[in-house]
Amino acid sequence: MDERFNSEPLRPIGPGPEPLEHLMRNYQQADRASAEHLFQLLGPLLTRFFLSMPDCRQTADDLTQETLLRIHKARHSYRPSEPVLPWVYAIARHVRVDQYRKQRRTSKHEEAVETEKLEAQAAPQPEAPQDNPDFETLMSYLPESQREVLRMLKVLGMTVEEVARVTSSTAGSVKQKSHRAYEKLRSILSGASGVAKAVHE
Amino acid sequence: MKLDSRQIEAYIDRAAAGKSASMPADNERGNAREALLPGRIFADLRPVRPLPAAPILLLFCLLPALVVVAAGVKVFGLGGWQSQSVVLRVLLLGPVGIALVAASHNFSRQMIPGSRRLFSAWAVELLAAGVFIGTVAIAFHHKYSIDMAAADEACFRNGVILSAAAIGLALLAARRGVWLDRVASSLQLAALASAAALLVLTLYCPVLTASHVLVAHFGALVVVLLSAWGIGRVVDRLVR
Repeated sequence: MDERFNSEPLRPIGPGPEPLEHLMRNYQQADRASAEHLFQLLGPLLTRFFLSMPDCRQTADDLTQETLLRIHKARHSYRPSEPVLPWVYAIARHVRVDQYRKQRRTSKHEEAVETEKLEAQAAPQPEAPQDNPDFETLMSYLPESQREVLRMLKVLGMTVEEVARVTSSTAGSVKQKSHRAYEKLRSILSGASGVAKAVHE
Repeated sequence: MKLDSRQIEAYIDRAAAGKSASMPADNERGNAREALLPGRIFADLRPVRPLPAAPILLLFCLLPALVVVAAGVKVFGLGGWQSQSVVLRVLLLGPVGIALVAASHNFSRQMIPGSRRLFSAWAVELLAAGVFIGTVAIAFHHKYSIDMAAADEACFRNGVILSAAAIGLALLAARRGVWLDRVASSLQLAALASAAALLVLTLYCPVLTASHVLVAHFGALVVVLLSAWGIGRVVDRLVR
């Protein structure tokens, strides 16, 4: 297990740093103090997780609450020998997926006024690469599955193994997705001379 | 200007660092949230028993399928096994057995969020299905039947019944699991159950014709998978 990932949440909040795994075990044994401490640590991490996804920014706090509720309901499914964060982020990821599908279903029932026009406005249209594109612009060139993997690897700082656990896939599949994403971005950015110059700098 | 992978990765790292820095620090938000949640959530805080270790979970998932196979062989016999050569037994039963274990593995992993996947179960199952269909198509292609409707119907019905029994038992064994992706979980459960049913059909059915095996035996598997996909989607909508 990568030390960086496990050590990140161990900041001294409250009485002192305790490993998440230890807190989680106590939480399973109905220790209220450990449960509260654990939620104090997980809440900000989850909010950050949702904030890293552009479609969740407006609802990051609600999604965090929903995830914490689901964590409570599913706490028996955490196995003490396993790392806590991939388990937490896997639940968070499905909360996000559920919310997205729910939203999509709700929007279908709403009045359709110039739907095509609105969709064209809402959908991120990959433009020609600017001289110094930011992370979100780079992501707009990639399909959702590759975006998700790169966000977890680069913005949230997870390891390949952890991303594989969170996305219910294998480490090989995660590596393949990130490699394809790099290749795609390389071919796009190589075409833009300004970007190529910025990369070389 | 041509860029190499290392340069691109470094550039993406820089862009991601910018994005990461623009997000609020971990402890900047949500004090009100933390204040609200404990009262709501911890009101009914009771000790829970964690799920067992991965190998035991795998056994939990495999056992119902093995019970169905044993019961099926007991009821229907081993007519198919006796009419197959050793090579055919390996090529037909081997892939089904491998698919059964792969489906059990994946199903047991689906019970625990964030659990480690050692291999892609779907790839293994598709490969196994390919070997099975290929063997049937090559080994039995020259055998024709005049009226197979009765045999087809019986085997198809038995396949569906055996699958349903395996699904029921597996659900009982895996009732404490947390199913985040309901559609994938129900598909994997159906793959596990229909592999068990296909194993029984291959062991007992002595009709070695390509049309019969593909329509009645494999057809039952396809129907069970499609039904599970539909049920998974309905459950997903209802739960959400």
